[in-house]
Amino acid sequence: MTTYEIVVGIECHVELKTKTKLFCGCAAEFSDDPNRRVCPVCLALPGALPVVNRQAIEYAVKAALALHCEVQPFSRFDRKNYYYPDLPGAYQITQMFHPIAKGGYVDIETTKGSRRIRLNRIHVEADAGKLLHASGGIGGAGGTLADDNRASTPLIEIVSEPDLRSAEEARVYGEKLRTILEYAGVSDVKMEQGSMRCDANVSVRPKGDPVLGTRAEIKNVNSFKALERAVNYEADRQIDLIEDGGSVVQETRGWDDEKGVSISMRLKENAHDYRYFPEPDLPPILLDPERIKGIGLTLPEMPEDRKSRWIKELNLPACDSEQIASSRFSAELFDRTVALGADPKTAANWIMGEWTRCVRVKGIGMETEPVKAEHLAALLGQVSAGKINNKQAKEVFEEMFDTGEAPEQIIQRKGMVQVSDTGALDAIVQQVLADHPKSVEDYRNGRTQAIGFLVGQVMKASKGQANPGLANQLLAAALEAMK
Amino acid sequence: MEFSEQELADLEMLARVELSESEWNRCRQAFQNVLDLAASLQAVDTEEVEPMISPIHLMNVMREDEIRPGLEREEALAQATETESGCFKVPRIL
Amino acid sequence: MNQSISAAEELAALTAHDASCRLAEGTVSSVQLTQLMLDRIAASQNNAFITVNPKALEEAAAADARRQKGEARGPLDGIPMALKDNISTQGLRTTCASRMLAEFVPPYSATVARRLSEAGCVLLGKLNMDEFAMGSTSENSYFGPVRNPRDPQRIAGGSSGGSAAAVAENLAYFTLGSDTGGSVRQPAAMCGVMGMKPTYGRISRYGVVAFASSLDQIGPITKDAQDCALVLNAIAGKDPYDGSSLMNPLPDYLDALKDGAAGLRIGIPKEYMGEGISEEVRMAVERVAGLLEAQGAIVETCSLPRTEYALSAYYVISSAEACSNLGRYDGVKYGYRTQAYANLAEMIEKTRSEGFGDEVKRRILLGTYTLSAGYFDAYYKRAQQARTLIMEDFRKVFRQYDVLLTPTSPVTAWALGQKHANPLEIYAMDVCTVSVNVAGLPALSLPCGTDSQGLPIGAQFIANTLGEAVLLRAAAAAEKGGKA
Repeated sequence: MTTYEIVVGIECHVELKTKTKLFCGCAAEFSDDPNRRVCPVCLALPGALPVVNRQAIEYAVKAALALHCEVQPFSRFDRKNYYYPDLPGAYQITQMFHPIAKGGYVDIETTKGSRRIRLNRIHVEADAGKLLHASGGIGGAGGTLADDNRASTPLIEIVSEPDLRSAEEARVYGEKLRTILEYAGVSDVKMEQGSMRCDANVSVRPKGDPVLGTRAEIKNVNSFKALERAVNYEADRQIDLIEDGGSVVQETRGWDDEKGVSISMRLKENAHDYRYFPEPDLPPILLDPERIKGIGLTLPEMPEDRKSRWIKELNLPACDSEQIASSRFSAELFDRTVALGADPKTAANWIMGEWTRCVRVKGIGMETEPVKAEHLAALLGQVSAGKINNKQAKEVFEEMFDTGEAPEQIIQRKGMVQVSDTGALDAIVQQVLADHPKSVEDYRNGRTQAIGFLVGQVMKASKGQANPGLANQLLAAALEAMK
Repeated sequence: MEFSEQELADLEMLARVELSESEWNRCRQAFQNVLDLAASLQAVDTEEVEPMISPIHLMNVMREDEIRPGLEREEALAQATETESGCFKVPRIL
Repeated sequence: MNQSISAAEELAALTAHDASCRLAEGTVSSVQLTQLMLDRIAASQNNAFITVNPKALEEAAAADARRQKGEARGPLDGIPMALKDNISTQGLRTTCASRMLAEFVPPYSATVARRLSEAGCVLLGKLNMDEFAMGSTSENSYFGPVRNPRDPQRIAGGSSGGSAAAVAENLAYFTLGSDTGGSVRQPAAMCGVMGMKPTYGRISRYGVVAFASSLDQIGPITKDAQDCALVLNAIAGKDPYDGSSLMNPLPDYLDALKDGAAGLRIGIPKEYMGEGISEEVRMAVERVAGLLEAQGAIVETCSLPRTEYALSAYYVISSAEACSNLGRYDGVKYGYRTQAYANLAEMIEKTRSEGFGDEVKRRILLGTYTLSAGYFDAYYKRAQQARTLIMEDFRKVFRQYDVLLTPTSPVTAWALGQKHANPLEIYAMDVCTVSVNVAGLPALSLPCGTDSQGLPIGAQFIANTLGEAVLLRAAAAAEKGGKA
C-alpha cells in the first residue's frame, strides 16, 4: 500500500486598493452598475494607450517587502495574448519576464508544527472585466454579457513554490498571506468580495519520490476553508485515479463547494500559446534601493514581530497573541489600548471576547474601527476602578460599538453605578437569604455551589449594580455565620 | 518551409483569422518569401546584444493615482452591435 | 472668368503660412478658404478623402468669429486641414480604410487632433490610406485606391496616400499622416510634397489606431518647411496619456529655418545609393547635395553597414506588434460583426476573416507565427537585437555628420494595380525608409523635382534623435537653393 504525499502550490491574485485603475484614470472602486467606470483605455478602444499608476507600483513593492521578497531594481511589463470576452483588447498586460519581486516567504504554524513556505515571485498585472449570463428570453439562446468596470483593476499575483504538503497547510498559508497583506495596507483582501482570489496547483507523488507528479489547477475557491476542502478532494481524486491505473491530466478544474467536487474546465484546454512579448507602450520600471527602503519604512509592525513582542514584553500567552495578531485591526486596537494604560491580559480578553463577538454578530467590518482604543481603555479603567462591574461593562461596550459614544457618557446616561457599599449590600444579602431558604439549606448541606445562585439573586435584586465579588463575600460570611 | 494543414489551422486558430483556400493559395508564396526574408536575421551576430524593445530610453513614466474623466456608459456602448442591461453582449461561449 | 478661376487656384495653392497671413490681413476668411477646399474635394477624382467633416464650415465660422473679436489663437487658427483616417476624431467616423471600422465613430479624439483643434484649425475630413496603415501604395483600402494627383493611373504611395495626395492637389493646407516604415515620407515623395516623421515619442500616439507600437509616429505633410515647423509647434510635446511620449523641452521649430546650410555636415550612406535606386532618383538626390554644397555644406559618403537587416527587422517587429494590436477587432464592443454564427468562437473568426483585407490578414498571421512558442527567439528577439545594431550604426555616423541624405523611394510612382506576385518586391521599396523607424530617428522627405515622366522624386534627410530642427534647417536651405 503506497503512501502518497500531497504537493500544493498556491497562486493568489490580490486587488490593490488604489483609487484608480492600473493603466487609466477610471475609479477602481467596486460598482455593480455595469460599464460606469470605463474609458477608451480600459475598453481597449482603437488608439488607446496605457500609463502606469504610481501608487499601484508602490503598493506592490510594499507587499513584496512585507513578504520578505527581493524587490527587483529593473522590472517591465509584457503582453499576454489570448481571446476571452472578459479581456478587452485580447491581451492582458502583465509581467512575465521581469517581475517586480522574486523569492520571499511566509511562515506558517499548523497542528503539525512550523514551516516556512517559499514564494517564487510577485508580479503586477491588470485584471479583466466580468462576465454575466444574459437573460434567456423566449427560446433565447442566452449569450454572455461583458461588464468592464473591473477591467484594468491593479492586481498583484503572488506565486508560492510547491512547498505546501497538506490541505491544512494550504488553508493556513492562505490565511497568513491574507493577514500579512492586510497589515501592509495594500488591499482589502476580502475573499468573499473577490479582492483576493486563490488558485491551488495540486499534485501527488509516492512519499519519498523526488519527482513532482502531474498537477491540476483548481480555481473558483471562495474561502480558505473551501481551499482546504478542495485540496483534500483533489488529492483524493488523484490518488484514486492513480491506484485505479489511470494518470493525472494536467488541466484546470473548477471547484464546486456545494457539491464538494472539482470539475474539469475543458473550455480552457485549447493550447494556450500566449505569445508573450515585452509591452512596447510602457517604459520599464527602475527602483533604486533608497526608494525601496523608503517604501519599506511605511510598513507597520508585522504580525510575527508583534506576537513576539507581546509574548516577551507583555507576558501575553501565545495563543492570545496569535488570535489578536491575526488581524491588523485587532492588533492595532490592542496596542493602542494597552498604550493608554489598560492591563494587557484584560484588553486581550475583551478583544478576543466582546469585540470579536460584536464584529461577527453585527456584521460590521473591523476596518471601520467600530470601537476606538481610547473608549475601550476608558471602559476598562472604569471597571478596574470598581465604578462598574463586568456585566455592566459588557452592556456599555455593546452600546459603544453601536453608537461610537464614549463610555463615560453611556454610564452617566444609564445611571450605572456599582454598589460596593457594604452596608447597602448587606441589607440585600439578608433579604435574599430570607427569600431562599432552600438554597441556604443546600449550602449548609455541603452544596457550596448554591452560593452562585444566591449571588445571582443579589445581582437581580440590585438591578445588576451590586459588586459581585463583594456580594459573594458577604453571602459567604452570612452563610457561615448561620451555621 | 512548408506549412502542414495542421500548422496552418493552429496558426489561424491563435490569430482568429481564417483564410479561404484561394486566399491561402494567393498568399502562400508571399508568406513564404517574407519568412525567408525574416530568416536572414539568423546571419546577424547577436552575441551579447541587448534587444531594443523601444527606441526611447524612458523609464518610470507613471501617473498619479487621481481620477480622470472617462466615458459615459452610453458612449461606451454606442458602437456595440448588441448590448443588454448596460453590458456588451456576445453569443454564448460554447 | 479666367481671372476668378486663377484667383481660386492661387488661393488653394497657398502655403498654410501665406494663407494665415491673408487671414490676418483680412483679405480672406476661414469660411472662404474652407468652402474652397470643400468644393475642390467634391470635384476631385483622386479618392483622397473617405469622410468629409459636416461641421467644417461651422468650425471655420467660429474661427472667423474669434478673429473678429481679436481672439485669434495663433498662426494656424482658421486654417483648413485634414487627418489620416487612423487618427481618432470624436463624433466623426474613423475607419482606418477597413471594413472592420467602416462605421466606427470614436467617442474620443486623438491628442494630435485635439491639439490642432485647440490651435483653431478647421477639420476638413478624414483621409484615405492603406488598411490599418499596412502597405506602401494606398491600394489596400476598403474605400478604393488613392490616385496620384500627378497621374491618376498611378499610386499615390502609402500608407498615408490620401494625406499626401490631398496636399499635392491643394485639397487641404496641410495634413497629418502616420509613419511606421515610411508611410508619411514615401507618399509625400511620390506626390511631390514634403513629409516628416519626427523622432519616435516626440508626438503623442494617444488616439492613433495602433499598427506597430514601437515604430508608429504621426507626421505632418506640408507644402514647405515653414508649414512643417508650424504644425510641429502645434502638435509636438509630452502627453500624459501616452507613456511613450518624450518629455524633452520643445524648441520653436521656426527658429531652425533661417540657419542656412553653411557648415552643415552631410553624409550620404552608400548602402542607400545602391543598385535598386533608379538613375533619375539618384541624380535628383545628387542635385540636392550639390545645392547644399553650393551653400557651404560639406557632403561626404559614409556607411551604415547593417542596413541590410533593417527590412527583415522591420517586418518581424511590425507584424508581431500588429497582430497583438489588432487582436481587439472581434465584433464585440465596436466595429463590423459578421451576420451568421452559431457561437462566440465562430463569430470572432468570421468577423475577423471578413472584416480584414488580405494584406492585414497576412501580416497578422506572420506576426502570430513569429511570436509563437519556439519561434520567439529566432525571429522577434533577433529582430530586436538587430535593431540595437542598426541604432549603433546610426549613432556612430552621427558623431561625424549632422544629417544624412538618401533617396526617399528608390523609384517613382508605379501604376495602380501593378501585380506583384512577390510582395517582397513591394516590401523592398521600403528599404530607404524603414531603418529610420527601426531606430526611432527623425527624417524628412523633400520634394526635389520630377523624373522624365513628370513623376515627383523625394530626397530624404535623416537626423539624430530629437534632430527635427536640423531636418528643417536642411530642408529650408534646399528649398532656397532650389528656387535660386
